[in-house]
Amino acid sequence: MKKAFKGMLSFSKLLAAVSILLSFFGFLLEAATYTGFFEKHFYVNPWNAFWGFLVVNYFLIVIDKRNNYWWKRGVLRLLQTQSKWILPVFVVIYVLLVYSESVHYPNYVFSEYHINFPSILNVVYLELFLFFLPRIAVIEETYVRLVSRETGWKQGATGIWLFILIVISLLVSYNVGFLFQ
Amino acid sequence: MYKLKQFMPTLTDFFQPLNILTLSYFAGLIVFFDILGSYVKHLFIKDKNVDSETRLVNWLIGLAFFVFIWFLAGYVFEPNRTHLLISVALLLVVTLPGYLKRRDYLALVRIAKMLTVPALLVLPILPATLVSASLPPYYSDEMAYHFISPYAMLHQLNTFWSVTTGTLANVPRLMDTFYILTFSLTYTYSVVRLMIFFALVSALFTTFVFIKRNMGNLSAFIFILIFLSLPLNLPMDATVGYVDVPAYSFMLIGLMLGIGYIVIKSKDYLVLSSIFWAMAIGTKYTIFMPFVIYTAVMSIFFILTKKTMRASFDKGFIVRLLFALMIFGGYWYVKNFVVFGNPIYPFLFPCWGKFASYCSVSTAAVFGSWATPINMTTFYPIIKQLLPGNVVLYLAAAISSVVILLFGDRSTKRVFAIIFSLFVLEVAYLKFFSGFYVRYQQHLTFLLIFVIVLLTAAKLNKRFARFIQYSVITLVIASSLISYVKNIEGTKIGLKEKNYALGKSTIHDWIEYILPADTRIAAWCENPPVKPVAIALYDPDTIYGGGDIFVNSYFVNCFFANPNLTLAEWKNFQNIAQERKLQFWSFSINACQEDPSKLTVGQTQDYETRLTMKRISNEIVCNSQEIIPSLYYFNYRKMQ
Repeated sequence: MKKAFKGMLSFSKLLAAVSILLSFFGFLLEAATYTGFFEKHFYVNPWNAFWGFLVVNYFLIVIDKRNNYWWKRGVLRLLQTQSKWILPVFVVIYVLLVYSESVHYPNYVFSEYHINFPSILNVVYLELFLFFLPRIAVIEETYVRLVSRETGWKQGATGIWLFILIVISLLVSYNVGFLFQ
Repeated sequence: MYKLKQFMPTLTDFFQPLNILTLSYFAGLIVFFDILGSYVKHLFIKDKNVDSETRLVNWLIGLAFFVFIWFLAGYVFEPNRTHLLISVALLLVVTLPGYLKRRDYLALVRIAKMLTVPALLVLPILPATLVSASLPPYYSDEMAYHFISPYAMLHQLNTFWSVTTGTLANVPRLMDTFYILTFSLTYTYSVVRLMIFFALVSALFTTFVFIKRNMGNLSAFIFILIFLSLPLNLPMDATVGYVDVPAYSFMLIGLMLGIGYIVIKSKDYLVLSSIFWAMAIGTKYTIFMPFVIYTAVMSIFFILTKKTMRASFDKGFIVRLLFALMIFGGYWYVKNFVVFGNPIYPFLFPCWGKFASYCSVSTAAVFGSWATPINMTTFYPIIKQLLPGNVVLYLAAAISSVVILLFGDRSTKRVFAIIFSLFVLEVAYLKFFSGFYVRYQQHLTFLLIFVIVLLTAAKLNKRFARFIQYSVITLVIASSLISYVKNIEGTKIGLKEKNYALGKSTIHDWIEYILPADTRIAAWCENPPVKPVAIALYDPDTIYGGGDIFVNSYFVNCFFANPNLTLAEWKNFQNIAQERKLQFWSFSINACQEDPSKLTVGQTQDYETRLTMKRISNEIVCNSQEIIPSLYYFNYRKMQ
């Protein structure tokens, strides 16, 4: 059981690393081509990869008590620590492109430089998330621990219950009714 | 000898979008109001905790006090740019030394450090807000009466400080007066629009700070997140020249400070609360009844806690309270009482003397046509309108109420009782007197949010209750975050709006965009053959139709005024015109109809009046020369 749990954790870490990389390079590629390019050729929507990363990340933080700060190793460490440089660079690029578009004409950036600049904004969002990842992890962990203490539930069970609630919110917010029509 | 060049204004002198110049006007005004507000606040507030906690809203107090000064001064001096600048300089001479000596600006820096989270949440809507704030008048009632035209600002300012009958001229006009003063000072509404948004943000941030200090970080975060997650279209709603957003912003602060008094028991909370309630009732009549209910509920609270009442109600305190109420907004009611004998002219109560026939108007008669009546069928849709777009929120509000009542601690139950009473009593009032209209009752949203926030801060004694509490909190945070992201994603700004905000299109392009049929008349009014030009307006289609009358907002050298010709005289129009030697310009979107019997108007209550208006307008058009499309010149000599 312990071995299976350990194996599952290792697999989750791999999944998280793959999904964030897919998401990052997906957005970059779409910025150089067009929105939907990545999904068309690689069958993965970068946003879905990012949502997948969020879910796995949540479980790794909440369930794996021994190794909460799991992204402090490997390629993820590089992405997280370097976000403090990558983020401002992409923000500046995005602002310059928006400015350039606004002083010329709609679609100027794409027609002149072949850059699909709204996708750059997705990279900015992603980098922003990676930049705040340590803080978000602490908040998630503290919150789950707080609820666990207040309700008397175990931390793992609390984490799963809160995850179910989040999924319910997601379904309600996106109007679950359409599934049954 | 040099002769000073006379200022010959054109449309391009007005309605500048937000740029370096207008943003510096905005910053200058904010700093001035902050200095003035800090000075006035120190006259009322002695408690340093209350002072520091509410530091962000000092500029709003300054704004309200500045309007009060000009409410009085406007009867003596015309509030033009020169006079306004002189008043600003004089007030700075009095207030600036104390501001610098006390280093009030440092408190602002300290409080700003607590606002990282709400600032990050507001940041994504800022670009769209800056675009919306840059726009000239464009939205129905702001063009109809909240914003004034360049002509009115240059030549008719005194009319806003004269005694006339009419509901709109005599409703509380704190923010309307502020709009006029700022337009007079800056010649643009972009500064005004940004200040409306800034007022809302100040109210939200102050509430955030208050909740953070008294209930904790989580509650404060939930408060700001829920509000920003509601699909209220803030970039547009909080920059449009209506007074609803400032009114509920002031009320939010007043309400929060009232709760502050219940929790912390510092009298200064109540004084500050009355300042903001006064500003709210001085902004809009619809806040008056919530204010009465609030006063009643708070009084009952004092009676039930007698010790507090005895300790609080000394003469000096009551005088301070009433004085605050009076100079920050109550004076509009005093003015109406002095002039008409009815503080809420023309509603409910009779008036005295020659104004008697204008009064005793039933609120139900006025609001009944567009407000939703409250009953069991409409209650749920009403709650949905108050907390739109997120079903989790009204479930959370309902569950929170039950959990607090059953398991809450005494302090939480007490605050809940106050909030619940305010909600129920206002809904009861609306049921019997006017009906519900979401723009007027948006403040009820805050009461519902407060209920949810209360649950997050409640100390519950049962483990089961805490399980529900944290489940609700998780649901609320998750669903609000999703709604917030959807909200931000859904914020769209049109290309025409962007172009105007970026200075890529002119005011003429803008008028062509919103009033395509009336572009020429607005341009003509920049430089008419005689200045100023009175333009007659009889055509009901122009007045009540597609908004053509709103071209008035862009008049620089024209204004609407009818000649000496009443509706009853339309049958003898030709004789009367000759007899009175009438010559005038007239605005009508309808061309001449040779056969007057074919003239029609749509089904309406005042059908006969409108038909007569149309007939007289047609007579004028048929006997006039068309100067430009829709503008006619009538000369009795050239009558056919």
